[in-house]
Amino acid sequence: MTLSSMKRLISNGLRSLDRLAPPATVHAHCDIPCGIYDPHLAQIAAHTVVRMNQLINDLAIPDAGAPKAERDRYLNSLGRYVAVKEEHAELVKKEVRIIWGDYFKPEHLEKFPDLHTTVWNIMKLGSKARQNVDLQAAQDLLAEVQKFAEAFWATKGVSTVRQPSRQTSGGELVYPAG
Amino acid sequence: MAALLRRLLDLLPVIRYRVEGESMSPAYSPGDRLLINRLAYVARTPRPGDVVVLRDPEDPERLLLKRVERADGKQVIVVGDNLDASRDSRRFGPVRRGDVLGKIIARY
Repeated sequence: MTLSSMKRLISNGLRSLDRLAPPATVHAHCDIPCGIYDPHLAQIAAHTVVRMNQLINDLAIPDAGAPKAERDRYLNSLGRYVAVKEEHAELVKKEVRIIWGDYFKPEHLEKFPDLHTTVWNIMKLGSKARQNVDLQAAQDLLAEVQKFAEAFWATKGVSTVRQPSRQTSGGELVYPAG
Repeated sequence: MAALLRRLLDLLPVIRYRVEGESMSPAYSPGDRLLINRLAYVARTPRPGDVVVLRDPEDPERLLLKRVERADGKQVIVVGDNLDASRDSRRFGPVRRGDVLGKIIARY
């Protein structure tokens, strides 16, 4: 038996073993520890949820005898607003989850013991904002995301300011100061 | 049966691993199967150039595959071959020798 055929035999044997009991994973990962995190996107998404609620509330319902084209227009607009509301409420949850899970460390938690509660509230309010047309839930979601953003910047020793959003949704955005 | 087999295999000095990620590419690529010798550093210090499996200092649940750059009796400095795509001692500093679990001896 040649060396190479012996090697192949061993290799095949080990591969068969792998199928029975898969080997553990060893990571040669970059895992992109880019260290780039920013709660801004979560805030913008929360503002979008607020805005969609406002648009839905402002949408005039056509009369019972209104022509089909008018009813279609209404339904189409409503559908679009709801779809965007869904998408952005979920985006808030996703963005916050990433920063909470990947960025925040135990020592941060000592300084912000309410962090888990804030994140919990964001998850719940994000779902509530999806389930209903509920401007108050959307405003509450935005308020919690702003608290989260302030905690995030504070862990970096960066103070924050709340400025008017200058968006159609009104309200404020939290920015790092300076 | 598979669980029993796994238990028995875990007792052996040679352990199989599957590579994930690109930080050791092209020497070791995602999907490669490796054998590591867990007894390699019982009697001697890791040598520069050795490719080792170590416990991730930032996540004890994970195992990393890196190359030894320098080592003494206590500490080992590891880097990925692919410097642009590696989280290693440049970020987390030297690792304790005890966290280096073994040396790659073969690919299969």
